[in-house]
Amino acid sequence: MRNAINKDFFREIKYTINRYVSILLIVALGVAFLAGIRATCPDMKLTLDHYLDEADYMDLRVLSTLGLTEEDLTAIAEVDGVKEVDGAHSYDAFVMNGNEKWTLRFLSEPVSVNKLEITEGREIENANECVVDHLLIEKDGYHIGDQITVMPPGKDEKLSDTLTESTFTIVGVAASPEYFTTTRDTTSIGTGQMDAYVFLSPEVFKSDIYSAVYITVDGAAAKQAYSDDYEAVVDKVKAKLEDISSEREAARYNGIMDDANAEIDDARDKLADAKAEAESELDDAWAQIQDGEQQISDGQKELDDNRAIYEDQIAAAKAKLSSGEQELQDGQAEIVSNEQKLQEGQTQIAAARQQLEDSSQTLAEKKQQYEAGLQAANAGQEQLTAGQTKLTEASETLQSQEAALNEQKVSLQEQKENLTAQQTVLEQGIAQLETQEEALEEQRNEAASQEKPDEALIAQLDAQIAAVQEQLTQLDAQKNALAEGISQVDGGLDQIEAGLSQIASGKEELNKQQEELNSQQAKLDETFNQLTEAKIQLDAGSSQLESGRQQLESKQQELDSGKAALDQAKAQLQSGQAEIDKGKAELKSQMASAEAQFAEAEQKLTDAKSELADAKEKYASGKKEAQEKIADAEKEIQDAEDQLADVDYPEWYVLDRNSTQAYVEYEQNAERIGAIGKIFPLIFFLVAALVSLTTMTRMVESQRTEIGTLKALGYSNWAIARKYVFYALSASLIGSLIGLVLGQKLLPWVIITAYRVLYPNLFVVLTPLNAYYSITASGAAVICVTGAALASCYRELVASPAELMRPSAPAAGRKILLEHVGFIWHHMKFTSKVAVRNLFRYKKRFFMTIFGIGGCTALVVFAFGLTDSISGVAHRQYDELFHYDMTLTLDDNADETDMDELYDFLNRDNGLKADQYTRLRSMSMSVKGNGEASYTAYLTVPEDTEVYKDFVVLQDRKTGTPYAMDDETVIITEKLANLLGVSTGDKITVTDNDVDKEVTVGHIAENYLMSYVYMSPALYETTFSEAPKWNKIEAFIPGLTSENSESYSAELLALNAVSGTSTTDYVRSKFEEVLNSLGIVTLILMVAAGMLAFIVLYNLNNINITERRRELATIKVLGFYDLEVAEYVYRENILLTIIGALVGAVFGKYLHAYIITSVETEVIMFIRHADFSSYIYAIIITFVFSIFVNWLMYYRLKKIDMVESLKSVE
Amino acid sequence: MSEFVVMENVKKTYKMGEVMIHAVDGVDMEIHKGEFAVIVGPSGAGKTTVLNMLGGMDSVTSGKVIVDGRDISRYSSRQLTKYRRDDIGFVFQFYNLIQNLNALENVELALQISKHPLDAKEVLKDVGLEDRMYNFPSQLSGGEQQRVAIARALAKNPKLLLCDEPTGALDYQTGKAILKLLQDTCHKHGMTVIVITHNLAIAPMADRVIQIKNGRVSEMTVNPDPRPVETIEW
Repeated sequence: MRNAINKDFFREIKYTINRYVSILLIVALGVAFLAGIRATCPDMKLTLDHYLDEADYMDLRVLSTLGLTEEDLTAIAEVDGVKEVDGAHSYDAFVMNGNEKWTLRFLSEPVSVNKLEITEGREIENANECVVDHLLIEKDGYHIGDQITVMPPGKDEKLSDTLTESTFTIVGVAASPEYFTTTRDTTSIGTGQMDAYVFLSPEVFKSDIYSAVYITVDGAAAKQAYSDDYEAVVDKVKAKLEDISSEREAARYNGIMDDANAEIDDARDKLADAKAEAESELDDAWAQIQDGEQQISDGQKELDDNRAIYEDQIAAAKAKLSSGEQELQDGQAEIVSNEQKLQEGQTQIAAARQQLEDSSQTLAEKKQQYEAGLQAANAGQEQLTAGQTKLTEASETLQSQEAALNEQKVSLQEQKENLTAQQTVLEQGIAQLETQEEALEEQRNEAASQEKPDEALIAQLDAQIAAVQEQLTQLDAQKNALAEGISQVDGGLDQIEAGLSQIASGKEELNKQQEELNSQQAKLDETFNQLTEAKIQLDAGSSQLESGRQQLESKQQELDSGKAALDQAKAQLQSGQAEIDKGKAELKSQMASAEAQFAEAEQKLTDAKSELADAKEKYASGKKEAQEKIADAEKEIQDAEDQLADVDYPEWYVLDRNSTQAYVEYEQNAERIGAIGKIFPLIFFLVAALVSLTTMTRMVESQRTEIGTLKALGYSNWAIARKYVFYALSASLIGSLIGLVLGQKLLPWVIITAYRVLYPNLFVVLTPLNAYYSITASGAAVICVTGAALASCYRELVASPAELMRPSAPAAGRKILLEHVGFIWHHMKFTSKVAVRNLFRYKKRFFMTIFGIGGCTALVVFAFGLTDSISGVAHRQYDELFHYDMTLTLDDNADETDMDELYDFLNRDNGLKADQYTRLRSMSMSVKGNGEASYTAYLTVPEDTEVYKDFVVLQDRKTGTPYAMDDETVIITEKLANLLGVSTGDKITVTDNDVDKEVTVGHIAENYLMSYVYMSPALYETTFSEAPKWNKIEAFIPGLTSENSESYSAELLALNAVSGTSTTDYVRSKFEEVLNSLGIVTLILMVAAGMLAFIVLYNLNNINITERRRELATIKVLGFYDLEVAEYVYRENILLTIIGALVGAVFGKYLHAYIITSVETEVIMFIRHADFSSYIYAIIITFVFSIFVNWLMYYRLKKIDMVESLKSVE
Repeated sequence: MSEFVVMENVKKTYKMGEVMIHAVDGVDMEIHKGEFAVIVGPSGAGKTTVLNMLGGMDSVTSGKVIVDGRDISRYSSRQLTKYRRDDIGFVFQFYNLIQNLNALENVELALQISKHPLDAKEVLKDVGLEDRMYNFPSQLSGGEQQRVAIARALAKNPKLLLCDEPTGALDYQTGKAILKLLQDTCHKHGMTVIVITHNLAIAPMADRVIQIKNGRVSEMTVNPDPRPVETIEW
C-alpha cells in the first residue's frame, strides 16, 4: 500500500518532469540570486580583510608635521595594545623613461607592517636594488633587471642629500597593501600625480627622521575589517596614542630647538676666527703686488732700445737683396722669349717632317702599285708566248697530216684506175663468151632440128655450151669482186676527203687564235708602255723627297745649336738665383733669432704683468669672498635664528584606516552592491516564488479527482497530501541547495573578480557559504512552494470525496466590461474577442503572467537603468555642469611676483593657452543641518559670481532654472540638501577652524559628485569677517588633452605660485573607472533577469497549455490548422506580454528610482531616471523571450492529441 | 443510393512498448448517402477508434477509408485537417463547448474556418435555441449544450455528421430529444449521420445498424423501416 503511494509519487515526477524541473530551476534561480547578491557585500569585505591581515596592513598610522624620530617609535611601541611599529621613509622624485618623465614615490621597504608580497622576481638584497609597483612594469614598460636612475625633483636639490645611491636595479615586483587599488596618491612634484611606487632598502635613506609610522594593533586582525568590533579595538589604541602625542610633540620640538641653537653658537665662533685669518693674508698679498709692478717697468724700457737698433740693420740688407732680384728677373724674361721662339721653330720642323713623311708614304704606295702592275704584265706576256708556241705546233701537225692524206689519195686513185681497166677486160671476155654461147646454141638447135639429130654432136655441143656458161659464171664472180674493190676504194677516198676538210677547218681555227693572240699582245705592249711612264714619275718623286729631307736636317741642326745656347743662359740665371736665395735665408734666420729674442723678452714682461693682474684680482676677489663668506655666514646664522623662531610646534596626526581613500572607497563599493542586493534579488525572488507557488497550486487542483478517489478509498488526508507536499518539498529543496551553493560561490566570485581590475592585490577571493543568507533564502523558497502545496491540498481535502470526484464546474463564461463599450467591442474581430474574453476568464493566470512578465521587464529596466544612472553622472557633472578644464591649487606662500608669473604663463600661448580663468577660494568644511549629523562639503567662493556662471552651472535639476548667487544666501548642492534634510530658506551651520557660522540656504542646485556650498565674496566677508584669500584657479584651456596635459601640468607646477593641478578629464576618468566596475554587476542582473523571464514565461505557458488541452483538442477537431491553433493561444500571450511589459516598465521605473537612491553614498548622487531607450530595450528583450518561448510552445501545441477532446471532463 | 462511406479491411494497431494492440482488426462496412447509421458495440470494441479514423482524427494502419469517393486513409495530416474542416461535423459526448463563448459565438467559432457556412442564428433556431443564443454554456442545461454542439457541427454544412455517444451525458428524455433532432436533421436535410453508441436499444431508429465486437464488424443490417424515436423505449 505504501509502495503504491510511493510509486505514484515517483511516477508523478517522471511524467511531469517539465513542471518539476521548472519549479526546481525557478527556485534555484531565485535562491541563487537572493543569497548570491546578498552575500557579495560581506564576501567583498571578507576578501579584503583576508588580504590585509595576510599583509599585516596597518591599523593606525602616525604622521607628524616635523616627522618622527626613533624615540617616537619607541614611545609608540610602548603603548599598550600596539603590536608592531614600523617607521617609513618616503621620497618623491623623477625617473626618465625614454623622453618621458615619470613621477615615482620611493619608499623604504617595510619590515613588520604593510608587508610586501613579491609577485615576481625576488626581494631586495642590497642597497642597489629595488622592488617596484606592478604599474611600472605594466604601463611604463620596465622589466625586471632594468635599472632606474633617480632624478631629484628640485633644480638645486642634490640627490645625495636624501639617498645614498642614485641608480637601482629592479629585482622584483611587489604588491603593497598600502596601494591595494590601482589609484596612486597625489604629490607636490611633477604632474601632481604619482605614477608608481618603488621600494628601496631602508639604509638607502640618509635621514633618521621617519615620514610616517605604521602600527598594527593587538587583536585587530582577528576582527573583520569595517566591522564595529574592529573599529572598537582600534579606537582604544588610537585614543592612547593621542594621549602620548602632546608629550612627544614637545620632545620633538625641544630636540630640534636644542640642536639648532648649539649649531648656531658653533657657527658664530667659527666666523670670528675666519675673519681674523682672512685679514692678515690679504695684507701680505698687497705688498708683493707693488714690488712686482716696479720690476716690470724697468724691463720694458730695455726692450724698446734694443728693438730700434735691430730694425736699421735689417732695412739695409733687404735693399741689397731686392736689386739682385730685379736683375735676375730681367734675364729670366729674355730666356723665356728665346725659349718660345725655339719652341716655334721646333713646331715648324715637326710639321715639315710630318709632310715629308706623308709624301714618302704616298710614294711608297705608288711604287707598290707599279710593281704589282709590272708583275701582272710579265705574267700576261708569258701566257701569250706559251699560247703562240702551242699554236705553231698545232699548225705543223695539221700540215703533216694533210700531206699524208694527199699521198693516200693518189695511191687510191691509181688502184681505182687499175680496177676499172680490169673491169673493161672482163666485160669484153663476157661479151665474147656470150656470143660463143649463142653460136653454140644455134648449132645445137640446128643439130636438134635435123631429122636424125646427131646425138653425139648435140651432146658435144651441150658440153661446150655448159663449159661456156661456167666460164661466164666465173667471170661474173670476178666482175662482182671488182665492183666491190672499186666501192672500197671510193670509201677510202671519201674518208680522205673528210679528213682533208677537217684539217682545213682546224687551220681556220688556228688562224683565229693567232689573231686573238696578236691583239692581246698589242694590249700588253700598251700596258708595258704605261708602266714605264709611271716608273719615270716615281723616280722623280723619290728624288724630290730626298732633297726635302736634307733641307729639314739642316734646319734641325740650326735649332739644336740655338737650344744649347739657351740652356747655358739658364744655368747662369739659376746660379744667380741660388746666390740671392742664400742671401735671403741668411737674412731670415738672422731676423728670426732677433725676433725670438725680442718675443721672449716681451713674453716675460707680459707674464709678469698678467701675474700681477691675477694677483690683484685674486686679492680683490679674495677680499670680496672673504667679505661675502662672512656676510653669508652672518646671514645663515641670522636665517637659522629666524627659522628657528618660525619652526611651528609639531603636530601629531593619529590616523586609522578610514583616512585611507582606497579602504573607504572599497567599502563604498561593497555597500553599493549590498544596496542593490537589498531590493533587486528580492523582487526576483518574489517573482520566482509566486510562479512556483502557482504551479504547485495548479498541480493540486488538476488532480482533484485523484484526490477524491484516494479519499474515497479511505486514505488519510496526510497520506494524500504527502505526495504533493513531497513533490513541492523535494523540488524546492533541491533547487534551493543548487541555488544557494551556485549563487554564493559564483556571483560573489564573478563580482569580486571584476573588481580586481581596480583592486589587483586581492589575490585570494573568499566566497564562503553564508549561513544566514543560505537559510533565509532557501527557507523562504521551501516554505513558499511547500506551503502552497499544503494549502491547496487542504482546500481540496476539505471537500467530500463525492464532490471531488465530480468534475469541478468550469469557470463560467461571463460578459466582460469591454462588451458594454459597444463601439469598441463590435469593431473587434471575432478572434480578438475570444482572446480578450479568455484573458479575463483566467484571472489568476492573467495576474500571474502580468506579474511574472512585468517583474522581468522591471528587472531588465533596472539593469539598463543602472548603467544609465551611473554613466550619466560623469556626463552631467562634467559636460553640463562643470565646464572648466583645469584647477590649479595656489601655493600659500606665493607673492605678487609669483602670481604675475603664473598669469603670464596662463596668458602666453605655449602650445596651450588659457582662454579664461578665475580665482576662487575653496575649502573643505563640515556642514550641519537640522540634525546632529555633519557632512563634508566644499565651500566655494568665486571671485566674480557673474563670470563664474561660465565655469559652473548652478541650476534646478528638474526645471533647469539657473540660479544666481546673492549676498545674503548660499547655494548648496542637492545631495547635501537631502543629507542635511534642509530646503530653501533653512539655515545650515558651516564649521571652519572650530568656529561655527550660520548661513541661509538660498537655492538647491543640481550636482552629482561631492557636495558644495557656493557663497559670494561679500557674504564670505560678512560671515567670516575677513576677505577671502584666493587659493584656487579654475581655467578654460582649449585643446587640453590627456596627452598634453601632463607636460602642461608639469610646467605649471614648476612655477612658484602653483602647488597642485588637476584636469577635469583626469578626475572624470578616475571616477568613470570606479563606476564602470559596476558594469559586471549590471550584466549579471541583466542575464539573471533574462533567465527568469524565460523560465517564468515557459512555465506559465506550460500551465496554460496543460490546462486547456481539451479546449485546444476540440478546436483541432473542428479543423483548425496547427498555425491557427497556435494563433488562438498566441493572441492571448501577445496581449499578456504587451500588458506585462508595460506594467513592468512602470514598475521598473520605481524599482530603479528606489534602488539607485539606496546605492548612492554621501559624495555621489546618481541620475535618478533611466533613459527612455532603456525602457525600449527592456520591452524588446521581454518580447524576444516571449517570442522564443511561444516558438517552443508551438511544438507542444502540435503534439496535443485530438483524442483528448473525447475524454470526460476531469 | 450509392455508398457514401466505405471501410475496407481497416486495421488500427497501437504499439504499447513491446505489445501490439489491435484496436480495430479488419473492419469492412459501408454507409449510404443520407443514411442515419448507428454503430453499436460494447466498451472497448473499437467503436471510438473507428469514429476517430472516419473523422480524420487518427491515422489508419492499413486498409481503406473512402468518404464521398476519396480515400482519406492516405491523407497527410494537413489534408486531414482540411477534411475535418470542410467535410466533417463532430458532436462530442461532453459537448466540448468553449466555456468562454456564448451559444452563438461557439457556433461562430466553427464558422470562422468554414468554406460554405450556414447562418449561425438560423441553425440555432433550427435546433430550437432561438431564445438562448446569448447564453454562456454554464447557463445552459446539458441538452441545450448538446444542441449548441450539434448546431456548431451543422453550421459548417458538413458532408458527414459524426456523433460520439451524443446522449451519453444526458438524461433519458433529453437524450431522446437530441436523437430526434439528429434523426430529423438526417431526414430533412439528407445529411449522412453516424452515431456511435453502446445502447443497442436505439438501433431500430437507424437506417443502418453496424455492430462491432473485438475490432471487427460482427453484423451489419439495413433497416428498411426505421421507427421514429418517440416510439422507442429503453
